[in-house]
Amino acid sequence: MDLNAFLNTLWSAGTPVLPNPAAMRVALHGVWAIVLGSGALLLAYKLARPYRLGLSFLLMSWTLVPGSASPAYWLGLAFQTPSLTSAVICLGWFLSHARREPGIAVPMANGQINALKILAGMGVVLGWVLLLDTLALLPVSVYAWGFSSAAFGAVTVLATLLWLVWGTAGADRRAPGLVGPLLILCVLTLFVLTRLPTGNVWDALIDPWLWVALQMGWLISVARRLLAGKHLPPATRA
Amino acid sequence: MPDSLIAVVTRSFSTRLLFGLLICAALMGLDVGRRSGVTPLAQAVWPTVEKAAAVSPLLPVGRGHIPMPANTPAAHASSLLAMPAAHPSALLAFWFAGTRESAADVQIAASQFDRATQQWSAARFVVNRDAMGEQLGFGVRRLGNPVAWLDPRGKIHLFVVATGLGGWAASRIVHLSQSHEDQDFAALSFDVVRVLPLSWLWNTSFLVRTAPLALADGGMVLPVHFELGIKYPVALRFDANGEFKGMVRISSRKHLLQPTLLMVSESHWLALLRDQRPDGKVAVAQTLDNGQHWVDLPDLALDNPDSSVAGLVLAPGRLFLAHNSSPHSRTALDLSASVDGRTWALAQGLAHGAGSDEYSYPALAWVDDSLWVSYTDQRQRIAWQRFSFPTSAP
Repeated sequence: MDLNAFLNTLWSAGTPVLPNPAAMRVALHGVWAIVLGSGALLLAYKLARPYRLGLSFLLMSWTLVPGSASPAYWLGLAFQTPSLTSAVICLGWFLSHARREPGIAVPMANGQINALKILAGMGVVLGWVLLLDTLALLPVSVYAWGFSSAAFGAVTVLATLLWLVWGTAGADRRAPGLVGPLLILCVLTLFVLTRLPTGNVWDALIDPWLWVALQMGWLISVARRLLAGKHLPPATRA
Repeated sequence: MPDSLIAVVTRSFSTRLLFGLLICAALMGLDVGRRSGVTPLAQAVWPTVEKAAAVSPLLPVGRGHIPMPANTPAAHASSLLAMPAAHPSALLAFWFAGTRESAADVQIAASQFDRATQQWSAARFVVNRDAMGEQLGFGVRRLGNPVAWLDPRGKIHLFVVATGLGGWAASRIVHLSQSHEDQDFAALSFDVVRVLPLSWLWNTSFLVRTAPLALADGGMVLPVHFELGIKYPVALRFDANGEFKGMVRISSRKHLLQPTLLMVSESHWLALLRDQRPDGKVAVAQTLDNGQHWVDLPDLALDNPDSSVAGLVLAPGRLFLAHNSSPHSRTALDLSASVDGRTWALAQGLAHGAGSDEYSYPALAWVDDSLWVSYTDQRQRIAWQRFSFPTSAP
């Protein structure tokens, strides 16, 4: 491929690569199994570890059953396949929490928390842009651009920039700031290899439920901050 | 990631830069490498219709109803597919049928017009939602609006509306293709290819209704529309193998749906659209650059009672449009003709009723030197009519 052809391919939204239909069917069940299994582990936090894990694996196994007996069959009817970001977050959360008792939190460095907050903010903005685009309220078609190499490239460059800014190894924590860039790079790598869930990079990065969850998380943190401020003695309030 | 590797790649800005650039280049290389190169410009192709090129009046040569499958009192939204001259059938018709629209038992029915007997065959179901759900891996609540396309290898593709959680506004478009290319009608069956990825919002609210525009490369442009709250039309590009090649919004207006595409030249196309507003007219959008960009044009003079239209171009200056011509009901269905796609004149009345009569959702096709029209009759049956162009005396 010469440079001209490369650049044309890069900018064109008319060369989508869609996922293999068989892989889409497997991913539908696999990703919902991860999401539901993680959800079960989260909701069953009061149970002892073996019971929590058992419940989680049971739900995962049920979701992996092919056909209409599986929850994935009905969740897919309504919501299709969750994004790769949801899948990676849930899998990471599942793996880290499956190994320890509930209530034992792994502390994060302030820099890492701030980096994740910025990433979450980017996700919220991206979701709004995609929602407005779906309702044809933007002058350009952002979703259609998500099939192009240029959109994929833009996200890759952004992840690289985040890596440059946040990817420093501090003395107090193992890898502060790495989580965000690694999450995006992991999602992009999975996407470029599988094209899941739809062949559109925006669908790989964020789904509507993840977008809602990010905003709920933000609202809860704001509410907590406000409540904490109210309960402080007058002398300590700003 | 092992601690030692993390320590190495995060040691300094320059190592991070190097590592980041390497990953960036690798991912971009993998992405571009998997793409098949730039899709060529979409050139619309004239149908080879010499007989229709001569301006002559339409002569009705046949009409009737397409047989319905047993125990299906409701039928709607037919689509006609012209078959090649060597094929035993001249036409295939697809529509949805069941006990009522949106019922769980609605399936996609099909019938063929046999060249030897000059009769429509008994109808049979070719797509049902349970089988579709099994192949997709997820459920489908209801089926509707089939649109058929024949690829250059002779394989039939069906694009079908399949709803998720909700009514028609929760629809998705499912692409199916013929299971085997050499099937006769009695064995005609379809396999799911995929749900077309058209929207971020759980891929909902895109519907298909009207026939595709054929392209010189063997591919086609499939007109579809979005209808969750607002309505807007979109053109989808497919290559000769039926592979999805992208999407372009047709209009910036928010009340237009079910576009039908008419070529004026290889690069100049019109989209004629159903208008959802009361007192609406048939709306128009135009592209002058092979469908890359579209602009809205002033509405046509034709009334549109929020009803689907179907257009067909036979030759340069020979455009036809089947449409409901009364302003507030679907009691009158007419066929109009035009030279430029902007000014239309009545060519033939198709069906005129009264009161709550409904003749709607027309489809057009050209085959065996005849113009064929199918449409929904009272939401109960699919009616058809056939017209020819008599050759003028020497």
